[in-house]
Amino acid sequence: MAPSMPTHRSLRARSGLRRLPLLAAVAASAGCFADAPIFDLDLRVVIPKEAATAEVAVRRDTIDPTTGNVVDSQVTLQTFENDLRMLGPVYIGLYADVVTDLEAYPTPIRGAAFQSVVGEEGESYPYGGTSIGDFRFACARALACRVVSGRYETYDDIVDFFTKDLGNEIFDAYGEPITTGARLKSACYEILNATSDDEVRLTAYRDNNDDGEIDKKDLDFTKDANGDWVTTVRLWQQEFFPGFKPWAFLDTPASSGNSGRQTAFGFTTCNPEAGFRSSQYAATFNAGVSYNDILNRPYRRIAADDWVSSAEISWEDPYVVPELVLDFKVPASIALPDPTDTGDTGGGAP
Amino acid sequence: MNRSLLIALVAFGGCAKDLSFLYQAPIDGLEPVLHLGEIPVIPLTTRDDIRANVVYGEIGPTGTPETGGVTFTFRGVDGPLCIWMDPELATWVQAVETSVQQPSAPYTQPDNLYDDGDLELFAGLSVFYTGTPGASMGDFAVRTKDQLGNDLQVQYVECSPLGDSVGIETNNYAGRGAPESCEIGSSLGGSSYTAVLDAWSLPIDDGRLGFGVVVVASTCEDLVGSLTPAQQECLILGEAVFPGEPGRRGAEAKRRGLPLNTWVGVDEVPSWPGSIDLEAAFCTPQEGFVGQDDVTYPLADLCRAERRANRDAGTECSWQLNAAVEGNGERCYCGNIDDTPRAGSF
Repeated sequence: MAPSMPTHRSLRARSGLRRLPLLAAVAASAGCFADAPIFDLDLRVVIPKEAATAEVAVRRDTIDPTTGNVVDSQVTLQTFENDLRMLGPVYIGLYADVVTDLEAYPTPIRGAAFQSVVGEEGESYPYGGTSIGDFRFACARALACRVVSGRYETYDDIVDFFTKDLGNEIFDAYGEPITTGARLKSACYEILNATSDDEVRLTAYRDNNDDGEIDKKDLDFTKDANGDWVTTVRLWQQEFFPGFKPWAFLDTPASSGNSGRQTAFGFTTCNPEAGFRSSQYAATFNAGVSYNDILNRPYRRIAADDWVSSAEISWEDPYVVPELVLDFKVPASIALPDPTDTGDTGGGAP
Repeated sequence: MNRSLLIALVAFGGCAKDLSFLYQAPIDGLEPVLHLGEIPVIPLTTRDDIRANVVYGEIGPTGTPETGGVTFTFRGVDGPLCIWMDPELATWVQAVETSVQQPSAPYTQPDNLYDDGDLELFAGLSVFYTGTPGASMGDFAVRTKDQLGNDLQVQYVECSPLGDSVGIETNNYAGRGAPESCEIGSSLGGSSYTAVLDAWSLPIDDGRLGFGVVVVASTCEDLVGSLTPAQQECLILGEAVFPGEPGRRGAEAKRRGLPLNTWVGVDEVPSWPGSIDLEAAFCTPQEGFVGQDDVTYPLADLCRAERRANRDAGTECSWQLNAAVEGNGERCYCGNIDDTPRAGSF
């Protein structure tokens, strides 16, 4: 053995014992933070094409060609077939269990009901979660709670859908009609003091698929060979508890105003009283934002024709990417969520 | 000492340090954790009736990092209950804009921020309360396990100002000096509930925090009626308790079996002189209408009058000192006008 080679004892002294205090300190500190290892978890989500088909109230005006005035206006139901714009936010949670005997659809297990609020039920205590798409401030009162991120490629797509497809009118803060994407973009930049689309985040703004172009392929979902909508979502920095189960539901646009709102094409998970508050000249309104108890009490927000996942997927390996299919359509027989229910239960730890 | 060992010692040593010197020292005769016992739930009648049944108290610092506060129990009534609490005294943010117009006009004078404290209110069924009344504060956490066998801690809180962020000003803890309330929508008749008032901050000037609390058999909406947020400060008046000798207690409080340092009703509590006037001015920040000659701003006027009286008497405010014990002047309810921020000073 060469003199310069360390002995077994000296090796231990250098690598082990000398580091023991440091290791102990690190271990002591680490114990303060985590109960479970943390991973970035990937989950493949599939939305069947049937879920992207919805019946929406559409207004059609009859205009007098000589005067330009509206002489008749009719609201009819129109079906939009396998349309990405029919996909509201997809809410994904991680739960201890998913059961079928609590509601008319598969739903996360619930804890005990204890609060002295009439009609209040227990919550599901999710381990974590995320959403695919969220309600964005779309810079006009008529669009509050109605525009979801990752669904529209351009500003023109937004304006055309609401004005031409749905027959709605969009006005800016000065009462002028918004009829082009350029005008909507201008209104957004003005109100938000924004200088680029990735500050507004209403449209495709980032090359998510790294193909060198920013287009509809960079929206939240892409269509697969079957015509279903697919994506892979990442749950960032999630504590991993082996066996927990991913579950998701899709908020679909309410048809015939069944969410209780005056206008159709609304979403029951959007709280119109909250979110970014815009005060611009004659227009003061809230942009709307998702209720903050959606993953805790999803049953309060799920309405008929929403879609949920039914498979019980026990997530055992954080490096495995499970596939979650939202394959169960919520039947029309369930009670509709109360639009006046603000979710203020008075509960929660101080 | 090698570096690794030093890091280890620092890491472990940090857990055992006595940091009590950073905290206000306990005050003789003043409990840091006060338990009022059971207080009656009163019917919703008149505001005077409610004020006559407010339970007042005073707490002091713990002297340690431990949280102090107040607890009391009450019985459910098979219906809604509103717990209304008001900590000493009243706080506002000074308006510094140059064009003095509504709604900032009443608040152009600074507040004395050193005489205000803050209590955080929540409540639940007594059976779940984890604290030791009169000794240490607790909560309503229950440890259980979920279907996977993982630990789950549930706060069985029945009544909390916290909720969804559905509004601009609601569903939050009220902040320094402001009244706070929570509601039990459907209380269980005869069941014992515990209300917890965690001491979030004590007045800096003397470390003594006065408060008033009342439980009413109604919703908080019915209790408040049409009162504005500013006017709600006057639902409970006189909660700034004037310091006195240890062992004090009001006659009605004694009759009801309440502990030391408590009083019942606004007529019984020994309030700081002038503090009720301040609350009254705070509740009526403006009299008359903007644009008319007779519009007045009582709160701003009170501060100007206070400053003028001190100047005439040759006394100085001692904002940060215990004016009743060691201050060289008055306890001023308004702040130092010389501290008014100037444009660009933020």
